[in-house]
Formats: sequence, C-alpha cells, structure tokens
Amino acid sequence: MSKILSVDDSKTVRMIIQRAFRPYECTIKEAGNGEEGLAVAAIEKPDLIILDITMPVMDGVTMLTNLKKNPELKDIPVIMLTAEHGQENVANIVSLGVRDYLVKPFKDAQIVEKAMAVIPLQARAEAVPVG
Amino acid sequence: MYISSSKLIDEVGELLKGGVADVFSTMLGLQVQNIATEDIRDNGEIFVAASVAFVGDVHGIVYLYFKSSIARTLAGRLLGLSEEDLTDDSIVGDAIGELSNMIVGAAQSRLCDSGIPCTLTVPIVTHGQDIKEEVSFPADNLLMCVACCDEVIQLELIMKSSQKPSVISETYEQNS
Repeated sequence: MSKILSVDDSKTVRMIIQRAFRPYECTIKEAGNGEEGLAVAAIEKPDLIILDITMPVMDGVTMLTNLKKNPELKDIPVIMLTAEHGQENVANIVSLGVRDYLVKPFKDAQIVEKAMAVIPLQARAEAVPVG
Repeated sequence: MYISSSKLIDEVGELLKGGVADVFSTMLGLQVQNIATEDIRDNGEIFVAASVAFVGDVHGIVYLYFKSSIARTLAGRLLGLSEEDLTDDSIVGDAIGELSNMIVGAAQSRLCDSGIPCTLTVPIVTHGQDIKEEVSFPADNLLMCVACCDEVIQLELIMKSSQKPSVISETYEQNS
C-alpha cells in the first residue's frame, strides 16, 4: 500500500488531502512544517511527499533542499503545493527538482491525478473515487 | 504606460475580487456577486477576520471579514463536514485562513507576472467583535464587498502609499 506524506501548516489542507485520497488504498502521514516533515520522512520513508511552500519554522523549499541532501530520502518524489503561482515562482519550483506542482485553489481530483502519475493507487473496493 | 498608485490599488482590488470568485468556485462550488460597498463591522456581530500581507516591490495587507455564520458555512463546505461537526472554532479559523491565503495568492501571482514581485505572509486569523485594523505606515485604503449565500463578505485592501507605479493594465492588454 502506498504511503503519502502531507506536509502543510494548514490543518485544512491536510484534511483536504486526507479526503481526496480516502477512496484509494493508501495511508496518509502528516506533518505541520518542514522540520517535522523531514523527521516523519526519515521514519516513514513515504512513497510520495505533498509539500506546501509557505510554512512557519521551516518552509517547503528549505525542507526540499535538505531532503535532496539526504542519501536515504533524496529519491522520494515530491509534489509541491503553492498559492503563489506566478510564472517566476513556478519556474523556481521546477528548478528545485520536484516531480510536479499544483497551484491552489485545486480540486480533489487534481491532486489525485498528479499523485497517480507518480505512485500506484488503487480504488478501495467499497469506495467511489473522486471525479 | 505608467499609472498612479491610486490606480494601482483599484487594480489590485479587482485582482482580489477575481481571486474570491475563482477560489469560491473551485474549492467550494459557490458563486459570488460583486455588490455595493458597505462597512459590515459595526453591527455588534461576531466576525472571523483573516489578514494576509504581501511584501516586495509593493507592500500591502488584505483583511477579509466573514460573519461567524458564513465562516462556519464556508469551512464546512471546504472540509466536507456538516456544521454540527465543526465543534472546534480553530478549524473554522484555519479554513478561513487557507481560503484567504488562496485569494490573496491569486492576486499576488498576477502582480508578479506583471513585473511587480512580492511574496505572501502566513495568514493570521482573529475572532471577535468590532475588529479594526491599524497600520503603522502611510497607506491607501480600498473597501470592497461580495455576496455569497445571502451574506456579505468584506475585503479591505491597505497599500503603502507612494509605491512603484503599476504596469498591470499594460500587461493585461498585451496578454489578452
């Protein structure tokens, strides 16, 4: 079963991520900032990290930079979430070596689609996937 | 074509109203209507107020005011929870903060694409009555209102005076 780590200081966004992936066979781990995210990633070794950029304590860019320096974690694919979707910001995100990015606002189906391009996700037998 | 800072605040205001429409449609499945401006903060009701600042070639703060009832409605829709399940006010505040972050983010992105780089701060959310904002710098002020679910949502944009002239209009014309 795939394991996804959601790193966002907003409980709202973490709840939206939980809801979006509920119909699929996967587990969601959570962290509230980049520092916690690195710690959880080291323990859980997730298959995918969904990472916010603007966070207190440690932002997403710093977490990603540290992730890429860690031989055990550097190959974990990362999808970045950002509310700042100016062209320059997007170009900066891409240059960091992320697998993909998604701008807020987004629909549940969009984040699932992005994740499915990176990791295998199967619908739970009793659930109807988001459309 | 350079335009005055008073025009700039009007243009950023339009970007914000566009951001509200986009975020409400995408995240909540709700439509908003632009309505005449009225100050809704003096009626003794409890409000949830969110502020997000943008800092860079332009400096400003956006305050969004939601009556407590509409704040709970929007938070419930965003999280897929019934209002009875929203037992914790901090969840409502977090949801309103996130919506506000997305709204101001949409405007900030258009500013950046127009050659006016700036970044956002983390949203701050407060609850209470008679909430009034104060800034410590000379500022221009623009009050706006939109309607959603038969309730008024108020936006206040405060921008530092004498800022770099905008080229937003010119960029829009080139991109359209």
